[in-house]
Amino acid sequence: MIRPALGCAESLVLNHPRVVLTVAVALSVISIWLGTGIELRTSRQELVPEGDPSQAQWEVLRSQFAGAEPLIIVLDANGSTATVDDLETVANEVAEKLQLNPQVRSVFHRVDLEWLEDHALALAPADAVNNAIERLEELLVFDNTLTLTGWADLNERIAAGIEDSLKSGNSSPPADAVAAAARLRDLVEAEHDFLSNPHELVSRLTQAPRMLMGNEWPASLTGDGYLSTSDKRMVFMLVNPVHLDSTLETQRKFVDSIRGAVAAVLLDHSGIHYGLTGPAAMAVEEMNAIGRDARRTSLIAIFGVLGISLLVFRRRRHALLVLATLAAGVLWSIGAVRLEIGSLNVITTALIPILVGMGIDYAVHPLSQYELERQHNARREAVRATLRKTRAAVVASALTTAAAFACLLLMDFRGFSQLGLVTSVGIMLCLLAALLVLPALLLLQGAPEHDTTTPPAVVDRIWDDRAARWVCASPRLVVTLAIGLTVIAGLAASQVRLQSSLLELLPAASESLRYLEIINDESAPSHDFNLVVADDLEQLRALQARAEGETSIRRFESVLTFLPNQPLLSEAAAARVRMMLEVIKVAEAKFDGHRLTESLLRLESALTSAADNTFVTGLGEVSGVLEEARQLAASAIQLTTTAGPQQLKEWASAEDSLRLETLDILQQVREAAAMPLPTRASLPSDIVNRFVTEHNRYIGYLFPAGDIYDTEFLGQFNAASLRVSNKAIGFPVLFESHSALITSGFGIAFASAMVLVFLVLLIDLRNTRYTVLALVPVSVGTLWMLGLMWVFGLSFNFANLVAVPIVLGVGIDAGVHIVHRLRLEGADGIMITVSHTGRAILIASSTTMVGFGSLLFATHRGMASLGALLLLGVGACTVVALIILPNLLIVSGTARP
Amino acid sequence: MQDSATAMNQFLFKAALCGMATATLAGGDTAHAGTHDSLESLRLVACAPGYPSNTEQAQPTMNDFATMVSDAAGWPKGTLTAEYHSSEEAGIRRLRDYATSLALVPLPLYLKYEQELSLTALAQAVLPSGSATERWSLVASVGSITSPASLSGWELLGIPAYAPRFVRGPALSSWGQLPDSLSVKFTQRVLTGIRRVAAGEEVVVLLDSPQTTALASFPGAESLEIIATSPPLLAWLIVALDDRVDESVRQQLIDGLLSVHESARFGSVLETMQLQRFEALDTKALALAQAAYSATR
Repeated sequence: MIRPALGCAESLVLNHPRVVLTVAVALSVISIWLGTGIELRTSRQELVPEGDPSQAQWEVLRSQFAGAEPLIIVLDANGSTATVDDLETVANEVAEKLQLNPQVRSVFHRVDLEWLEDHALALAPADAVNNAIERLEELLVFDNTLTLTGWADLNERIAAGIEDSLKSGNSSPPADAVAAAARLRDLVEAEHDFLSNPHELVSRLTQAPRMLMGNEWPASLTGDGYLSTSDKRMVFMLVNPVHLDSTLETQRKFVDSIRGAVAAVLLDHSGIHYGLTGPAAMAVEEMNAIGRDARRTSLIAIFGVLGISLLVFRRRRHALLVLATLAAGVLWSIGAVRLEIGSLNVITTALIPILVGMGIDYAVHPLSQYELERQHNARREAVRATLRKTRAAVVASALTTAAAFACLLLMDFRGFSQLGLVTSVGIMLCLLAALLVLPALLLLQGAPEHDTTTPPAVVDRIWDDRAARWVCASPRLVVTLAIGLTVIAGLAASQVRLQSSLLELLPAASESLRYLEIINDESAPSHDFNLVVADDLEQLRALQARAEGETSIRRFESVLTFLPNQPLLSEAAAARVRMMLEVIKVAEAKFDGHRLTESLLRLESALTSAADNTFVTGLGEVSGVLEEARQLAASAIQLTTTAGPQQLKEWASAEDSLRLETLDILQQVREAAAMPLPTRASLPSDIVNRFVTEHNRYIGYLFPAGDIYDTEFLGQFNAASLRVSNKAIGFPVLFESHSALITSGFGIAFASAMVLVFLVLLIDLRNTRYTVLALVPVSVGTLWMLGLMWVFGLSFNFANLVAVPIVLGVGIDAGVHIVHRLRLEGADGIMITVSHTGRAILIASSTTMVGFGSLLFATHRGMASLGALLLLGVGACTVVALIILPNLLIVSGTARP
Repeated sequence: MQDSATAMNQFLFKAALCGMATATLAGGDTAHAGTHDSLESLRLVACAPGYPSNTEQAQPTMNDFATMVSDAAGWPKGTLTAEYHSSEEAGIRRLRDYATSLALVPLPLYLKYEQELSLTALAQAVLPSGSATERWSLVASVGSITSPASLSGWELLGIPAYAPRFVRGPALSSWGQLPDSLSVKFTQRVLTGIRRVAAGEEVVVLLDSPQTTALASFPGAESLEIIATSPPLLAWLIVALDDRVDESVRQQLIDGLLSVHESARFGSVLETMQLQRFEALDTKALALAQAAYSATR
């Protein structure tokens, strides 16, 4: 059926070239018109299978809870003299401005520390409060009062207690001896720390009420409660959008409006700079990077391909004819997209570069042959001969490539299945342009009909005149070397892995990536989490209890953090605190360096005896801890005995501060003990916005205890999340689900493509041996590509996986052309095959490699890795097709040297 | 509040009492004179030189022990009294008192005074580990000692050093002959000795098994090593003094001691004393220790 059709096409184009061109132009115009109606859909939803339950669940949650994917503003004072106060001022001004932004639902940038401190007693576990009371009692109660004065007094009290203990005793075993010794050691250590760095301990004490709560926030907050890095040089703001769909346009609009607001505020605050991160910012930055890269690499590709074309063809106008043919094919393909799907997504936007890289081959082979035919024939005869000698191979190669891409249709992941459809159709349309438009253009070009004098091109001088003659000089040696290299490459190929981290794809200098890494290092506010939803607090508590039993979940964060866990016990603990506060006194005491030393000496002596006594009876753990305390006391004595007047003055001042801070803490605790317990209704709005949906359902954040881009851990974390709630959803769940769709789908598509390509070739060549030989360049070339990936430290990722079908297509083309030409020339025609078809393969591969290789100049690391893979893959297939395959044909007896 | 407070203090009391209880067997201060072969009054003195606590602290436990043994031996209540002494001097003074007829002593003390006080071992105590024997370990700083001769001019510290012949003989003669210039000194504060070892002084310390285990928790334990270990040696012995009790009483006592652990009523007493039970004397093991002791100058 194909042969008669090709015959008709030949007849049509030879007899009616103007008609053919007119129709082609008309089709191109129609295609352009159709193309203007193509919708660009940048939503992630467009990539996943329609009706994907995880994605649907996620979209529902996102529509009800804007905090699922907050945009994070980072205010950065690094490199400037701006202080933490300046950062806080800017954060307040930005927050104020954003509250007026209609796209912003809420801004969370500051933890209300006063509220937190007021409720610290209610929010701390009752056990922790009781334990703290008991610790104070055991250290300080001697006469029904707790009198706090200074270190010397404390040392003497403790030493006296130990001395009394050694003189008397009771006979029960020391069940809590180790814990008690550890508390004593901690106290001596605190004193040692104080003497080493007096004011550090004072500043640590200011965090004491909040530390009772035991969460991770204090380290990531400024003194006034702003979310910050631990060095306080950056402040974070979480901005929740009103309704943010996942289309790029909406995200860009939102991100741009936030940028505008922050930039406007910063006009009045020199020195502070800012950055954005979070899913929306990353998506926009990634697409911007891809856009910039696409423009840059397209220019490089266009000029590179044009330059190569001008060099490799004998007449410059031929380069233009190839490009015109390609243009027609690409335009028709765009028109076809409108009819097939009507839209492009972020993956199918790669259609044009793929067609430019691959579609050009179908014009290059005929034109290369035409240039050779013109040496002996008039134009019309040359065109006819060209068509007859190349069309079978061109058609077969296009069919196999289209078949390879069509197998992507088997994938559930919609982004790739649509790419399979539009690319396979596009390849067939490029083929059609090569069969009809190119001959018509050749017939109608301005050159004289009978001018057969064509000057040799660069490729002729390099390939035809020199290299081609040497290709088959030592067939056995070449084949042996090739086998050796292939075995090595095969071994290396097994080491190539799939790098699943999406962060590794972004430009290395990406603002959002840089800040995201800082945020992840600082642990809060973390970016990666799954969410669970509860209808009421009881259900939320059950989810929390389940999450706490999972080792792969680092922490569960919800509104429960801000509500008392056991209200009755908390109330009782608060009552106990109130009682204890009545007997606590803080007394004035003059700092005396000599007395401090004396008290430390007494303490060390007491600790020495205590450690000795416990050691001699075999209580090693207790004596070990007491010995540590003794060593700290000895070190403290060193500090006090060598201190100068200035140091003594500093200690005196710090001890006063410590006393004042203690008074302040006691006052805070007094106030906290008098506070009513917080309830859901009394929670501040910023907490509600972060943990409650628009429908009054409660959100629980499940933060991972490891790297979600570690495939094994990701599986464990998601399994744990689903054990907490079978409706747990979030980026980790979606990422695992979609990654599985892509990787398993690619495996099936790849295997199917190989089978289909084999069958197509078998039908075309009707000979198993020729079929196998035609597949040598793609098989061996792919293995070599994998080996070279290992050599250069490259791995597969979700951006460069698409290189696989492209390399398959290019590799198959080269093998098919060689085998077809050899069959046409006969067993003795290997040199003509190598010379003529090799020339075309070299031209086609050069343009393809320059086209795809331009991607190496992309800043987007995913795109750059795609360029690297294509360069390696196409290069390897070309080398195998031009050098290994001809020698293999000779060694196997298929051709004669 | 006073009662509920000072857990710190309490733990130290407990610490002092707990392990020390291996030596905690004592009786009242008052000596009860009585006939040697009558059951009217027998006094047992426990002497554990070097271990903490004192006679007063240990007395309640000693009273319980005396009641327990009397009960097991089938003696009338009050027949046996017991008291504890943590110093060699006080303990031996009480043993020389003719009113004392029985004793609970560690092997070094037994060997040191066996001849002088005409001690006769009747039974041996089993430790919580289930063994009646103890292995002593000699600790030095890493790499400082390669053979016994390296200890020339050094100092050896430890609780059993109140019996230097025990240290040189039964405990360490299997390692080699210790040089005469080695000074063997008793200390109760073995951890202080360990600190000196860690500080690089020319000192080695002899530790019992619980102390050796405790060594791992010492900050700086990595700078220490065990350079020699004794063969298994009997730990504690119940002994009769001279001929102050006749044979029938001795046998009643032995029978009672061997069955005392079977009474759940007294389980906690033995536990507090860090003992598991008593068992028949291993005369062969004792004879080996005696021979090693006699062979040492």
